[in-house]
Amino acid sequence: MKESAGKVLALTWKDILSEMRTKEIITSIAAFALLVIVVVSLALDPSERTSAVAAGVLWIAFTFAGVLGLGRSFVMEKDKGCLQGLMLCPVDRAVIYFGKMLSTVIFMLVVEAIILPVFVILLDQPRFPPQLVLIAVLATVGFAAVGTLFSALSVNTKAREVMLPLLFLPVASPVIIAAIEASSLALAGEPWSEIVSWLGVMVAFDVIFLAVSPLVFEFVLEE
Amino acid sequence: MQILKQNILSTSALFALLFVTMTAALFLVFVYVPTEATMGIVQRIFYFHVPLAWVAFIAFGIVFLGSILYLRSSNRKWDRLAHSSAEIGMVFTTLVLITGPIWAKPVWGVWWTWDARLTTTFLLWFVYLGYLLVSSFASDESQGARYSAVIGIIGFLDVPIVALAIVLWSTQHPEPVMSESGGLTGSMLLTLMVSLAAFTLLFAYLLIHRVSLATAADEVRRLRQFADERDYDG
Amino acid sequence: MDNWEYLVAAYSIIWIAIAGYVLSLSRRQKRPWREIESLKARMRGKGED
Repeated sequence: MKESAGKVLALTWKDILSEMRTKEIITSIAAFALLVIVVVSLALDPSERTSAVAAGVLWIAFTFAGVLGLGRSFVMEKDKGCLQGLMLCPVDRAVIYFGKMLSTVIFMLVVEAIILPVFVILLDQPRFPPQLVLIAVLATVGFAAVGTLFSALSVNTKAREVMLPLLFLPVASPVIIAAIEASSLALAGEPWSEIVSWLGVMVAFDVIFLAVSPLVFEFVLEE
Repeated sequence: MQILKQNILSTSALFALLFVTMTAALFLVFVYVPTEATMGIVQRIFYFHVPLAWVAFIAFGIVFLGSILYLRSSNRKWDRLAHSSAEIGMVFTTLVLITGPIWAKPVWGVWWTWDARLTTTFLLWFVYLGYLLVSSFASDESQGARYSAVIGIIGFLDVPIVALAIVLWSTQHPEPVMSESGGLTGSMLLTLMVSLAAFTLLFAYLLIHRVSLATAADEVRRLRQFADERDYDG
Repeated sequence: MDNWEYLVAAYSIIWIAIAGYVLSLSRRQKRPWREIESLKARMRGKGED
C-alpha cells in the first residue's frame, strides 16, 4: 500500500515538474476562467450581481475551464507518446489514475486560489466566505475523479474535443449544481448548517467515483 | 440464417401476448378509467408517460449489467445486449421527454418544468447519448465496446446522485410538479399497472429483435474476416 | 373535452416513434441476410479453385 502511494506521488510529481517548466495548463485554465467571469459580469448591472447569479457565473467559469484543463492533461501525454511509456511501466493502472487525478486536482486548486479572490472583487460580493474553499476542494476532487477517466477515454476517440464535455458535463452535473447552490448560500452569508446537505451530495459523488473510476480505468488504457 | 429465423418464431408467442396486453391497456386508458377531476382528459397521458419512463430506466439497468459482464468476460454477447438496450432505451427516454412537456403545457401553462423526475430523465438522455456516440466515435469495434461499457457503468452509478441533487434543489426552488393531483384510485392503479405490463412486454420484444440484429451483424463481420483471410492465403 | 389535441398529439407521437423504430429494425435486418448470402457464394467460389 505504501509502495503504491509512493508510485502515485512519483507520477504526480512528474506532472508537476513538467507543468512548472511550461506552465501551460495553469495559465490556460486561469485565463479562460477569468475571461468567462469578466465577459459575463460585463453583461450584468450591479443590481443583478446577487449571490445566486454570482455563484452561477463562478461555477460555469470553473466548469468550462476545468474541462479545458482535463482535456489538455491527456492530450499532451498522447501526442508525445508518453501514454505508451506510462503503460509499459509495471504499475497497477489505478496508480496511473490516481497520479493523474492528483496532479489535475493540484493544478485546478492553484487556479481556483488565484481566481476566487478576483471573482469576489469583480462581482462585487459583500464577503469572501470561507465555505467557498471547502466547496471548491470537494467540487474539484469530484471533477478530477470522473474527468481523469473521461479525458483518457476521449483522447483515444475521434472528435475528442467534443467527446469530453459531452460525457463530462451530464455526469458531473450533481457536483456543479451542488457547488452553485452551496456557493450561493455561502455568498449570501448563510451559516454552515444550510450548506451541509449540498456538501453531502459532493462528498457522496467524490467517494463513489474515486472508488469506481480506478477500477474501470484499466479498460480505457488497454490498446 | 438460424439465429434470425429462430427468434422470429419464438417471439410469435411474445408478440401475441404483447398485442393482447397493449389492446387491453388502450381500452383501459381511453374507455374504462374515469376522467381525472382537476386535469381533465390530458391526464390520460400519464398512463403512457410513466410506463415509458419506467422502461427507460429498466433499459438503463440492463445497459449497466451488460456493461459489467462484458468488461469481465470480454464476451461480445453482453456488449450486444447492452447496446441494444441502450438504443431502445434512448427511444423511450426521448418519448418521455416529449410527452412530458405535451402534458405540462395544458396543465401548468409552461412547456418545461424543472420537475425532479423530468430533469433526471433529461440527464439520463444525455448519458445514453454519450454511450451511443462513444461506440460510433471509437477507432475500432472492441474499443467502442469497452469504452461504452465504461460509460454504461459510470452513468448508471451517477443517476441516483443526479436524482438526489435535483430533489434537494427542488426543495429550495419550488417548481410545478408533474404528477396526478389526488392519490391513485383503484381504477387508475389498475390502468397504470396494465399499461406498465404492456410497455415492459413491448420492450422485451424490441430487445430480442435488436439483439438478434446485432448478432447477425457480428456474424457477418466474422464471416467477412474469415473470407478475407482465405482470399489472402488462397 | 378541452385540450384533447394534446392527448391526441402525445399518443400519436408515441405510436409513430415506436412504429418507426420497428420499421427501421426490420429494414436493418435485411442487410445481414443479403451479405451472408453473398459471402457464402464467394466462399463457394474460392473453394472450387
